[in-house]
Amino acid sequence: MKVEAFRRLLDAYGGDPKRWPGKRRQAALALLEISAEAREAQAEACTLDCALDRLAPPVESRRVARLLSTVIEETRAIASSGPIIIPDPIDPWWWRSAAILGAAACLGFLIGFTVLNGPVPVQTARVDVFNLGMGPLVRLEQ
Amino acid sequence: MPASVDPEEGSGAEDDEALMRRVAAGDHPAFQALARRHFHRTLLLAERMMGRRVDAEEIAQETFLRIWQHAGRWRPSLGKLNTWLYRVTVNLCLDRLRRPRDLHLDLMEDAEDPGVDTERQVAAQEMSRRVAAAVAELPGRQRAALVLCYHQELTNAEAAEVLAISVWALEALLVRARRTLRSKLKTLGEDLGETR
Repeated sequence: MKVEAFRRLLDAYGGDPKRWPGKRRQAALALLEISAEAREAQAEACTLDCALDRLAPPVESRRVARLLSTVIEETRAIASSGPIIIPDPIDPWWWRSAAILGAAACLGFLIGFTVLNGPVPVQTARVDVFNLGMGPLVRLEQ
Repeated sequence: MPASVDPEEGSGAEDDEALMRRVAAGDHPAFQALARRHFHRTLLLAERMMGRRVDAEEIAQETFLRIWQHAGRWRPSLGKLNTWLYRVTVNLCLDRLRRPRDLHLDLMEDAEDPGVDTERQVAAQEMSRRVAAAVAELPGRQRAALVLCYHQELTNAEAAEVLAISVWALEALLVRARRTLRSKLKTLGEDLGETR
């Protein structure tokens, strides 16, 4: 590994070898043994690591317990008021129900359409077809 | 260094999987066990993302409410439960960070060390505030990348999975985040030397 690549590694993961991705860790450690420049860059990165450590104050266990009990109570209240069924798009049961409903809707539409636009009486149909095709001719004859 | 790990944690993925199956079936004791195992780290993640306790508490609680309501959606094939949990948390955080808000950060208020004298304590607090403010100014996804890799101790592959991006994209976010922080806190080395 070259120093530039090492600097990129430090820029991403900081100065602690524990955080370096496994594949590059060995090469980086080997570089550290022979390069003073790399060691200096690592020290600089560790300064920022120290600063970031300040963002990690411990969370008091009493506070965690209080929040946790609130969550448990809220979910228990939801549970006692009956299950909430949220459709799961991956669940085959949901797909089956949706397919049955869809098929029923299509069938209903087809039946309704057929009833409303039912078969036209044969005589009327013949006249209509004749009028469509020969309309102007009939009128001329009159 | 990374925060302490919840002693109740330490379960394997199989345990989580079995619990989640029970939670999906409406088993509330299983949900309680799961919440006890994962709530602590979820709260830590939300706190580091948001910088405000009130927001973090609401988000951690909302995350677990969603687990209770949507447990049936999780599949082992989607990845470890931790990853899913962090994804829900990070998405809630990013969503909230998009809303306009004041920049008051209260994460550091109780991080005092009673062992150091007042002057050093004030300087240390000031430094903590500067760091928290600099992190709070980072774009949400850069902040998420930093918190997941640095504080939550996820591997780069796990953090990339949480953010639904490639490892290279994650690394780019980390580089940008750390470079920004370094330039904002360039006098930090000297100041840290004084307060350490």
